[in-house]
Amino acid sequence: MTSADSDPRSAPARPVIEKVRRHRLDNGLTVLTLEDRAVPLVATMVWYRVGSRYETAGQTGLSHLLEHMMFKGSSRFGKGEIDAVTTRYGGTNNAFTANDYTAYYFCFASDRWWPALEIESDRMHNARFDPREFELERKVVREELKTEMDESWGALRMAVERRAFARHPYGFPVLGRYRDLLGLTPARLEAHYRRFYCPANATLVIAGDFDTARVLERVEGLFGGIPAGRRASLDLPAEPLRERTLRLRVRRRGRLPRLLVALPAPSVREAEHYAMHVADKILGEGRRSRLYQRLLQQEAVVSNASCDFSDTYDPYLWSVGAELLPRVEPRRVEDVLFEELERLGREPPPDEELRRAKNQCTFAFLSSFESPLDQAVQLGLMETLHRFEYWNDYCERIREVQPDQVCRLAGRYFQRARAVIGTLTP
Amino acid sequence: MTPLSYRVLRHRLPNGLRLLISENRRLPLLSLTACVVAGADQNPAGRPGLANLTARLLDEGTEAYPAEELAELVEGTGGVLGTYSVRELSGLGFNLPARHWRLALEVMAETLRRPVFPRRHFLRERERLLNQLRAARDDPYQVADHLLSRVVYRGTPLEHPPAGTIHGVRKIRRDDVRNFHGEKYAPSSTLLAVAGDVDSAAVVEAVRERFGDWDNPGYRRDPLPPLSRQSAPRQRRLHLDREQLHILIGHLGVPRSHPDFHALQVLDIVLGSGPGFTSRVPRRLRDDQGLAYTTFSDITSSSGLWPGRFLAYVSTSPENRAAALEGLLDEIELLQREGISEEELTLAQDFLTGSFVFDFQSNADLARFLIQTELYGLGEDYPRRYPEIIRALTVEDVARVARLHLDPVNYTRVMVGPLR
Repeated sequence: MTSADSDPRSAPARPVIEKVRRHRLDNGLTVLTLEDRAVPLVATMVWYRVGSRYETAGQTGLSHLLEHMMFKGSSRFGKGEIDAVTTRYGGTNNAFTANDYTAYYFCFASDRWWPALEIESDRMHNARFDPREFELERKVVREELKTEMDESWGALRMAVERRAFARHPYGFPVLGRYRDLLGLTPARLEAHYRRFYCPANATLVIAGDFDTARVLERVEGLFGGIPAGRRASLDLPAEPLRERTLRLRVRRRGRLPRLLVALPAPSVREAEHYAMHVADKILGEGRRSRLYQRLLQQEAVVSNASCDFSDTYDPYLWSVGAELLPRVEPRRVEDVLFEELERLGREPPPDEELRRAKNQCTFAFLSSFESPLDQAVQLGLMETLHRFEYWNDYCERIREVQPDQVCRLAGRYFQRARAVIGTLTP
Repeated sequence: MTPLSYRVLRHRLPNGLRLLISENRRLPLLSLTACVVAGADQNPAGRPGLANLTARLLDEGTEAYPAEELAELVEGTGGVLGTYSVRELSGLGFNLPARHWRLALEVMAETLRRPVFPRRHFLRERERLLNQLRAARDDPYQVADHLLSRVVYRGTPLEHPPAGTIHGVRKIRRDDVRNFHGEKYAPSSTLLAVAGDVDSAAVVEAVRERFGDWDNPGYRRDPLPPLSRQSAPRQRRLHLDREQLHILIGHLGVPRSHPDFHALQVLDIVLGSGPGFTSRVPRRLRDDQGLAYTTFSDITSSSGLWPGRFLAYVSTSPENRAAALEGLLDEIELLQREGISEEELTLAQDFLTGSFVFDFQSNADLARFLIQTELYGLGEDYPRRYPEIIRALTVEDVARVARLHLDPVNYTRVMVGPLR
């Protein structure tokens, strides 16, 4: 028998997610374990509730530079040793910073993954801030920022995000503003570290081929003695919905004209965000999507149109980026785009279209749980933004989305008056 | 080393089509990859981009399914179908819920065997491709990469980017696409890899039904003119109004079948593509000097049926130009002069043998690995042999291949960015 006969309505990732366990150490460290012996790998991640959302004007880029410094030495692992250990044990490691979080990962074969826990425990409270290393790493970040600014989409995205948030720190670039970077000091960076890198503000995720009971003992031994600190709970007023379109232009970062339209979108903590996932697929996923049909096929005004949406703690953005065909005015693309967006806000989508979009959501969800590292990413992300149990009923909640919910959501958010519209021109 | 727990079923149809299946029942997902051994290397003179445009049009309508119907079939499953065309391969990849596996095979058979290249879709896709090539001119790294290839592969179809050139794509006619498909897509040039939650026997049967009667007597594969390494240094410069300068140093590399391939993998880990900043180039230019965010060197990752390229790269502020260039060249010369230490060798061996297991994490990874194993004739036992091959290498082997395959004199230096 093949799976072709299985019930299409069963929630297929359930068996994986049902194995997730949450443990809490006395110092507040959240530990999520997902024991899955099928692949001989173990992925470990540490997620801290800190990113550009927790920064202030004039000191942007702190969290990201701090992430870089986490590879520059702690009491047990000197500069370069984290990478040396990772290499010796045949693993991979890296880290990333976003507006809501900073996350670190290791992935090793399951017979040799213990160094991951030792490194993470050491750099959770024993990082060193050598002034010379700090200076070097600031130079590296400066180059990273230049790379981003040199890219057509990078430059446009930074300009649009900045203007989309007049009050909320989501407008700060994750990499920081250049002049802010110049003002940072090792002491300032260390203060940021002491405040946010602590058990009460962190989630440790372990996924893959291991024995949970044994691992928890080890975790207690390595992390249990770290002072708790406190959980970052920064309540910020939501950015008010815009009432007038804001337009901006970026020059000299490319010869091909590009358009980026950013609209407000609900946070992962709001009920309507499931409808947002569905709307995102209806508009932007695949050739049957409305934007592909309209912008690429019927009107043939752009060569690419891609939608961007991610789950965030506070309301953030849904955006469409498009590369314009020759002799097409940006305003024309904008008009066609808003015809489609406003139509979705007026007429509930037909059943067949809704079904396709929901299948796309479910498939994307399942695919994001394929490897131990994928699993650790999804669990850590949701635990940091909200709670990992979000995934338990994700497919059911998507299935329950009604046509009029999608329509209401689009009507509320996808108005031209709410948009920040950036164009890139030579 | 942790044992790898995947099994492969290999099957060859009488018409030559090769089928590779690996069952993975962890999640109800499936990855299908079709690979046709014809990429940019098969483009006729004056038609760079033809292989690419042909591949992009495979799913734009077939004899049985108009484009819209095909898209609805594919996307209705929630899955994602994509086409690709690179230096020497073209094809499709389809990731979807496993229960639609029959549909997936039907889609693969239709798109590979019976695309009709409707005129309207041809014209639109050519316009899109042209615009994407215009977009690529805005990306300094891609521009530098193409300038390097122009020298390394001079006089062959590979001197142009696999995606094509604006000049070349403009000249492509619909008949060119039909002819390319007619000549290059054949059962004997096709590999099909299936990984995921399926029953191998049922898949073999279904593939026989859909591909068994495929025949292409007109199949033709064009040889590439011989490639040789440059015998004098060259330079290419292009001014772009940007913050950073992109510096590429490179020359012709080796094919995947070269007996020195594995020693060169060790060399890569030591010189420029190990994890983090363990390799010499990133450690020096980034970790110790703070000159760059992105810097690396590599010779093996571009090896294929044809020789790849050795390249060393850095993007940096223009005032760092001299230091960055000196750093790259110094490290290459030093490696040639002094080789590597026993400690570096062991570290690289530990990494390569330990991280090999990451090649099989997802169905798509597995499908890709199966295709490579077959394409390069690595043999079924390659995953088992690999650690032995790597462990058998010595510092002398690495020193020898460094002297033989790297050249810090006769190389091409490309600089793109603020030069005025």
